[in-house]
Amino acid sequence: MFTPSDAKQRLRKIWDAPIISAVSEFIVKGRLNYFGLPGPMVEDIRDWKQYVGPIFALERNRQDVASLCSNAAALGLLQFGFHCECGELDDFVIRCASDGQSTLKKNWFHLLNLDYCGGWIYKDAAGNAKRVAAFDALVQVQRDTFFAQIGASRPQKSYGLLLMTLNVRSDDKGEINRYVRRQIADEIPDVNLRKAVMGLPEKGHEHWLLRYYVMHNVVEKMSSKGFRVYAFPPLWYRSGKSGLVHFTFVFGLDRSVVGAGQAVQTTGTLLRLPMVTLDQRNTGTCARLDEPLSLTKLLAPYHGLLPHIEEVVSLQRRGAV
Amino acid sequence: MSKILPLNQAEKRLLEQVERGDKSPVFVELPRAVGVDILDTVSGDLYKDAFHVVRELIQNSYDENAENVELLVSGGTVLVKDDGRGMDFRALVGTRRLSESEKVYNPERYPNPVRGFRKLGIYSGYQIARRLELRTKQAGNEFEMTLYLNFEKMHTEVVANRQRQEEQRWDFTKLIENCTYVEGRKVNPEEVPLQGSYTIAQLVDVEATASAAWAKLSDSKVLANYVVQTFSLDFDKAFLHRATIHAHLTKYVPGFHPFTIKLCTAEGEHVLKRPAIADVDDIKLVRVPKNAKNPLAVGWIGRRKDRALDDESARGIVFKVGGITIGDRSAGREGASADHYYFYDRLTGEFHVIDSEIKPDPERASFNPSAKAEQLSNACDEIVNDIVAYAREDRKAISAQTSSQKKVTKLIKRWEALKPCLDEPPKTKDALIERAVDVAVCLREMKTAQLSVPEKMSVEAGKNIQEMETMLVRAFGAGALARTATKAPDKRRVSLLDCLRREELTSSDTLLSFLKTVNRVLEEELNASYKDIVQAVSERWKAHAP
Repeated sequence: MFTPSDAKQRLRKIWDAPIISAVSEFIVKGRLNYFGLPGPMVEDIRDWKQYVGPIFALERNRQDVASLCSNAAALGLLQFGFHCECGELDDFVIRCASDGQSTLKKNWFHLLNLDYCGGWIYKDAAGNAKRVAAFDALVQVQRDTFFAQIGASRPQKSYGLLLMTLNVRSDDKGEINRYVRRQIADEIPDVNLRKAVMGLPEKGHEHWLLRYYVMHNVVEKMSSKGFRVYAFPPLWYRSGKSGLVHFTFVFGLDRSVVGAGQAVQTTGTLLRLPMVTLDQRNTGTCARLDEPLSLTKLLAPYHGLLPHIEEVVSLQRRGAV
Repeated sequence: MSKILPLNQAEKRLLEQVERGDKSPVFVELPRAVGVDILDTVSGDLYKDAFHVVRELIQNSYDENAENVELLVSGGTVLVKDDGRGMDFRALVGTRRLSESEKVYNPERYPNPVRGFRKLGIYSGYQIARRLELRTKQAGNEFEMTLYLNFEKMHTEVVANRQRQEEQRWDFTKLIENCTYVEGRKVNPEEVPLQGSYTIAQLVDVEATASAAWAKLSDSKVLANYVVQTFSLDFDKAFLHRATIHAHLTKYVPGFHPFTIKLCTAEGEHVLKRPAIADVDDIKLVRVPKNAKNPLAVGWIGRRKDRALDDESARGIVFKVGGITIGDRSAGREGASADHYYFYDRLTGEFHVIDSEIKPDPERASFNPSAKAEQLSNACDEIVNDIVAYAREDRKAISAQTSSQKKVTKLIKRWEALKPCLDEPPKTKDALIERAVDVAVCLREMKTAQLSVPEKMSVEAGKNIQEMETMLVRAFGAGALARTATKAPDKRRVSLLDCLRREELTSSDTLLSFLKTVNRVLEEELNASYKDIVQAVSERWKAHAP
């Protein structure tokens, strides 16, 4: 059973919860449809309970499904709808993507919580990175679901929040390193930044490499499918011996947009985002997070003026980073 | 008399352990030695259908006064959560007993005694699940407790038991001691309110244990239909008679309370309620037998007057015991005599059994044979027979009403055709006479037909009658007369309209008398030329009169 660390719990409260609250209150204007891996103790949804609506929960271990359902019931999470499936996330998503009747295709999810225990690139014997393929499939499913909605009540635009936690240790056989130094660095017009990225030591800075890779990769993949994506600064924290990076993206789809989504942040902007360090004892190498973010206050002036998500959720405006 | 004993020392120690959060095997007390094979017998024979297992779980929630139940069929498990009273340690541990239920011996907590008489429901999922978890919390208690019944281990032990020497064989008590345990946990008051109470019953791993049962339960439409037909769920708020029925049943059926079930499946969530039966014209609240001081059952019967209810699933009357449906919707059907069998399809309703001696069979398909059950059946037939007799009378009335409706429609059309003619000045005396007669006949017939049409049409007929009378005033009434007769001998003279209003005009005699009155008025007040008109009107009238 996955045991949540204190850092993770703190992260959910001081980082995720205010963002979820803002997305629920200002963007979606309602409870969020959840898809993800809440774990048998339903730890994450406990902290976001008041913003979460219907839940589609996935559990890796069959013996934990009962605990998940029971805890969800005890916390009153069945009231807006609850569905649970047992399976490994990547396999499940890939399977659902090719199944026309899949339950995954019935709803647009406002909150995708992909709390991976492992890394981003795990290649199978055939050399395929299943996790990346599954993410691709999930994005496609979201897109298909959005465009499959018909009738007068179909929304012109839909938004959502993607939370993703990845382990720094990833047996990628140097691919992240290569990708960052070749492909990403090529896209950076700023000479100084390019030099900084290229000069990043390979050892001891795996979390920086992972963060460059994943942010670039996710934004690119989602944009290519028509999504507009805004990335928050990533957070780095330790859980036991593992180093984990937590990513937060707000995404949106517009019915009138055909083809790739317009970039919200350039590659340079993405890479310049600070890495927030969350540590139980000694907080912040790049930024401090001593108290919960007040995104609600932050977003108040923008309420009603915001056709574009990037204006809604600019953490940099906060001045805390 | 209560058979529940105070906690003994062993139980007290155990309770302390549980409250400390220890996970401990729990002692079980049984009235007598029972063999472990009983589990196969009771669960295999009584709960063959997966829906019956779900029924047992929901019925337990209903018995605990739950108003909101959530039924989750997902992830291979079946879970029922209720907002009922929850159980204390004794009650939770006591659920494992066979044959003896607190529901029978504690009438204050469980007022309807027609339930809990077998005390087998907790083992109903023995064949289809790996284990049953009962998680419960009472209001004001900071602990929640979970009782685990490991069915999988029980199966293994039951099989192993057959291989054991006779003196080493386990009895039921030993089986339960070894295959169940209780766990206590302090709840976080920020997440679960201290005053909140609930019970969560979960059948774990149904999908892996009994795939056929899981397939059946996964069909959410069929499951939803079963639940709606089986339980005394709240009616949709649009049902006009909802409040009346609830008030009646709450007053007379001990423990009755309407509740809702939220079904969560892969298809989404649905709040299950009994539908509003829109075409029920009236309802009758009944006691069975009729007007009995100590009835065997109470209930309600709704009726559609003109034809069968549109919703086939609502047709017929059903027996309920402890909120659960017994049999199909055919209670009292014999009361609808053979030549009027179709009247039964116009009825819908429920008979809630409240006599503790009338017990349903294990399948909940019928009642165990007994004198009282027989008496109940006959009394229900009698009540239905009475209602069907009323229905026959209604049919006659409806038939008459239909004919009147047609007539009124026809007369309104006729009047519509007459109206423009009345606005034109008559060219000849004959034309005037003809109009007078036409309007008089139309008016008379309309007044007669108005009496036997439904209210809405009656109002419409009334408007037309008023219009006719106004037109008659214009044509033949005070105004018209005043223009001709400048000197009125009597200020209290009656106009033609007054005559019309005074007379019933329902028979040829009264019409003739009416015309005589007209004649008299005209004779008295108008010049002689009108006599000819009146004479002509009289003659024409005679030709039209029935």
